Amino acid sequence: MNYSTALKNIRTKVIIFSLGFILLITGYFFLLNFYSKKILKQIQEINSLKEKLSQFQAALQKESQLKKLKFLIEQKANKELPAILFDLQQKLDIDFEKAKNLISERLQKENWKIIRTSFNQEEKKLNFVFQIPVEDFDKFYNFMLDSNLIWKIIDLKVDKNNDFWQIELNLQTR
Amino acid sequence: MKKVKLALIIIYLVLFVFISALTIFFVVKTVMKGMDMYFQQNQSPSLELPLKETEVDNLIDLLKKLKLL
Repeated sequence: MNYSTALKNIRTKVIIFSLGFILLITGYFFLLNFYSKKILKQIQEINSLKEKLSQFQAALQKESQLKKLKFLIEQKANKELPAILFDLQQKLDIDFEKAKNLISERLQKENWKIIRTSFNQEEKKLNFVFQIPVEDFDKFYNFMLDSNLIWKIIDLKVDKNNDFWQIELNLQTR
Repeated sequence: MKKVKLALIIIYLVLFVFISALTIFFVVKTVMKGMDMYFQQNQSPSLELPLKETEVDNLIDLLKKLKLL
């Protein structure tokens, strides 16, 4: 074997060794990267589980707080919540005819002077313009409150003249 | 022959140092990133009651005053 052949052999071995070295390092790099990503993915999964758990706990706490609030309302009102809501609905649910009759009857009963009335049955709107003595204003207010018609008012105009109030009442019923 | 041995030892040492450095780099990177992810602050949902006890009292009183209860 002459010198140049030996040199060639050594060069080939060096190249093969270098390639192996590079491949080994690259392989190891990819292996580490793969496991690093795998670990991070698992941490992410743990995090999402933790978040779900805390959301569930919060929902449970909220539910118990709402139950507490419901109990508090029922205790203060001396009624069950569905009964409270039913009563409220009954009181606020005044239809067109009922409102019309209630106001007309009261105007007649109290002898309050009716200036103008107009009704729109299609839109369920009522308009009353009437005059009441100054001292009857409390009576009018109490009537509106007791009959729950106060919640149906969409517009109210009140003008005071010397000894009476002129009231324009616009109501929207069901 | 001695030179070959020396070259081999140097090559092994370089390989060892390089692989150790790579391992430490990935371990540190993974731990740092993992810690950031694990200890990140999630916004906790609000747990306040929609109404306080005094507000419930006031509300019930108001409803009674308005003759709705």
